[in-house]
Amino acid sequence: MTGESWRIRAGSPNDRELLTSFACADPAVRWQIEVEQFIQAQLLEWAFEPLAAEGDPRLLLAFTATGELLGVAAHERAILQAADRSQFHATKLEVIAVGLKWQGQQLPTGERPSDILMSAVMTDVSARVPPRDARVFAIVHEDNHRSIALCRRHGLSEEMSRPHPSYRRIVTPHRVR
Amino acid sequence: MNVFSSLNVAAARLARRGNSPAAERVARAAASLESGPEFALLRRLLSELPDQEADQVIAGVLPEGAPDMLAGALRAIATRTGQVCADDIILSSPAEMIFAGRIAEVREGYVLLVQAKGPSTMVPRWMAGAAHREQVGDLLALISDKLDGATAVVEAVPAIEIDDPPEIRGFTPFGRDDAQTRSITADDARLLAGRPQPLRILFPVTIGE
Repeated sequence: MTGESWRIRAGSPNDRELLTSFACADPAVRWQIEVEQFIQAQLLEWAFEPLAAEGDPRLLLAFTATGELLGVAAHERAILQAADRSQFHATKLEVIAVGLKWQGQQLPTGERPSDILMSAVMTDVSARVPPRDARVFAIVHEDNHRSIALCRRHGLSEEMSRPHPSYRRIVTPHRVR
Repeated sequence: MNVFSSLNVAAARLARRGNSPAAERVARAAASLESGPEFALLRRLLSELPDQEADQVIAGVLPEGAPDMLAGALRAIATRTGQVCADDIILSSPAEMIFAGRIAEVREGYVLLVQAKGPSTMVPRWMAGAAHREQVGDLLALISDKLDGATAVVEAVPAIEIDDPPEIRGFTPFGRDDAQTRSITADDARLLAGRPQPLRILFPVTIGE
């Protein structure tokens, strides 16, 4: 746990009720609804499905000092594969979402909830055993400007090919060998 | 003739594994699909065929002279089913892997199944035959149901060409092991071949368990 006005902990199978009531979407925006529905209905299974454990899925929850759920983040190990069959181990930032009440807000100590969540993800990725490759990517809807800016602030600055015309795939930087 | 969505089989598998929430969710998706216009059209077209031909269609064999509308109805259902699978975190997980491709070689004991983007696998010829797909060019899919770290049940099923453009095909950024998410281009590979830079951590964070 960290911070005077917030704390982070790993999620557990007992968090179902917390997640099913989590709201982060504008009901008029389809890609936001997609994120909210994933968190409410599927994120717990994503995190704790025993047959997916080899991907080391991690669910992180951020709370205010009074125990209110601020936001949710999740990541797991992933393998990216090129047509020539070359493979690259990476971490996929599965989701990061801030509760409606906290979007665009700062905590009393001045931090943005999204920055806390992203810092938690990067800290967690760095601490995994066995270690992950220092390569984190995210798939973000092209109209999700807040998330794209958040990713940039935390180093996901390189643009890769799009997995779908409406979604961007961005990754942490690499230095030419 | 009653026709049911193959999602019911997936729901039963999930129930067998003890995952009741996912089983119920997939069963609801199956019921929704079965009550939709695509299934209604398929039922009507099948009811107009002789029983034996209708059975063949369900087994994956389109009879000679079958109406184009029948192939279209099958494609529409396959597309909708694929969307449900891609959108569901359990059905798109590695435990539910589907390997679909075209038969490139037929040998005495096996056929070689090749995916459009490269990977290939051998399939016992009797399995391909049971799915009515054992000629070069035939489309076949293998559905694997992971039981534990070293065991899986693999079912060979007939496949059909859908060929929807990516703008129409369903996509979710949350699909686990989704080919669209994991496949990268040669330019991406050149980028990733560089040395990853250390991760940037803006705030010190301690994560409680």
